[in-house]
Amino acid sequence: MIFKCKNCGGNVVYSPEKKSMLCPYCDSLGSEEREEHPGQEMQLCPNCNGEIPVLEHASTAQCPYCDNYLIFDERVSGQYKPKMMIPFQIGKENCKKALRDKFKKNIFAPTDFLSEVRLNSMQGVYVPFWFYDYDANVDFTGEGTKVKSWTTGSTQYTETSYYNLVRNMDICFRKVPVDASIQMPDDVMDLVEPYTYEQFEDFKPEYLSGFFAEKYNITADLTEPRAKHKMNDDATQLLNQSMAGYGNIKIHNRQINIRNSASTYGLLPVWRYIYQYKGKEYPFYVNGQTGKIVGMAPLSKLKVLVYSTTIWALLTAVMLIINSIFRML
Amino acid sequence: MNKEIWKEARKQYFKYFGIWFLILGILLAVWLAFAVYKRMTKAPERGNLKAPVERVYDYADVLTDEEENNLRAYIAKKERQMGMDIVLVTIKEDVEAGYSSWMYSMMNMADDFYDENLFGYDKVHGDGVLLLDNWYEDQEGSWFSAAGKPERRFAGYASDKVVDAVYNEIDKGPYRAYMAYIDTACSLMNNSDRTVIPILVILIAPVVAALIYAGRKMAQKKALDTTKTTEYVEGDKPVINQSRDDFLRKSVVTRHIQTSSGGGSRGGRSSSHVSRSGVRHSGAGRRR
Repeated sequence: MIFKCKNCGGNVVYSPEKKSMLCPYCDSLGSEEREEHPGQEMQLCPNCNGEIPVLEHASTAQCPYCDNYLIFDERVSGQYKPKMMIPFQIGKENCKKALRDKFKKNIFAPTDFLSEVRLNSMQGVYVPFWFYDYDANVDFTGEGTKVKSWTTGSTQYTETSYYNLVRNMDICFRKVPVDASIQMPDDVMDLVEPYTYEQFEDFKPEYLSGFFAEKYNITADLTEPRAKHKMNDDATQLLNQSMAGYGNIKIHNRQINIRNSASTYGLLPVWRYIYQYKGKEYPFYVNGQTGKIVGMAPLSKLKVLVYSTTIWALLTAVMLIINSIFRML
Repeated sequence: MNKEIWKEARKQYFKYFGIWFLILGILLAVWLAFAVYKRMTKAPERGNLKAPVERVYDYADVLTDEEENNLRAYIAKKERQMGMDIVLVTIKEDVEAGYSSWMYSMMNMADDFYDENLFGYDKVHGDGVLLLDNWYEDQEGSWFSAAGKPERRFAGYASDKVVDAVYNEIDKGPYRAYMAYIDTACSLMNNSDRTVIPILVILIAPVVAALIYAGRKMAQKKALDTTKTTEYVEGDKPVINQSRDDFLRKSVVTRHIQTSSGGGSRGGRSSSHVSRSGVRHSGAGRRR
């Protein structure tokens, strides 16, 4: 499907800044008209009939000839229809600004790292996620110690008190996210979190227009171990927090039992900027809702050498001159 | 494109180090002003006319007439530049006779010679230095004495440096050694070796600072994990069904704290002293 402007016929895209569909050709807001093309071959643009390179799991694409954003019906419907999504809240310009703000002090980065030309290659991507709900029960028994120390005269006293600890708590985890994309690195997707779930909406294909998107390419049962791992980590930390104040805890029994679980498919927004430097890729991912940035700037060895040598030379020169002035006094 | 990147890189560099270059420029200007001022400042006119004209007293007869004349001419030139009397005395005397120590005898002889002859460039007992060199067998050695402004300048280890300079050249003959005495005393007087920042600090600190700077600027993290423990927990907290802390037992361990006492004393020496005539001198010397 393609979203076209009722006024000028141009390709309408979703604007995070305007929170509305925008025609970049005539600046009309909310003038979109959904154009379906049933039976159309995915590799052919319904607008110009140009050949489109379709990636294996992509649910949207941009025609390289007419620049129209296309949404593939069969990859956003049926089993691939997301139940919910957070639309992009941060536009490309704001994302560029966020990157510039974060890395402006990174003086060892290559000079063109934050150049307009390079940053323009940034892409907005809707990443498929599985969201897991767990009703968990945590049961714990153990022995904890509290240590108190004081000094009287020339004698130091150390008092250790031993306690029997019993904890039982119910924790309801809601929408624990795990990305369902082979292409996206797991550790990076974990760091891009958290998203503010208040902005979850029902899936609307309009939000995909102007962005790239994927259908899920890992099933819920395959990603679940990661979700359970996250849930276990959080449950253990909550348990530990309930026993704060104890120096050393000996565990007798600790069990985390899951009573109910469920999974839901949804999409989350991520801006992706890949910077190429000396034959290596440096990827940056920006949370499309909060603007949180994940990525490390490349280092220019020449800059490291020049700047560090300058620091050395300046300090040496300043100290030598100060000494020389004092000698003349 | 490449040219533009280089241009931008240069702009970034000068913007980043701008304040540093400014500080360096100011310091260089101050240094230059001092250097020019020092070069333009002439030594003051001689204020003491009571002192004898002679500066080279070769009682030990270790110098030829020509060497003595050369030394006199050189001393006269240096005195005008430095604004201090420069005296050389050679002796061949048993200074340890009568249970006197070599050091105290040499020191007193040098100080007395200076004081009794009323040396001093600006005034009687004013600015000046004197080298007393003894050639008596088994008692060879030099004593360096300073009065007036040089007294303050040579109150530390600078006196030793003058004696060291003499001893370094003595094998090449007394003339070379006394020339070294004049040069070293004038050089030390002219270029104070007072240093605010020790040379070791100048060598090491910038290297360490540059390494720390590079390390800090290079250190990066992909991102911090900002997901709270309760991020996905309904109601932001768990429902506590049971929470019990039952006291079991207690144990107490005692430890005796050993205290140590003690101290030390620090000593020091000053080469500054008052001569028998009541004039303050500094100096140093030792046997060869």
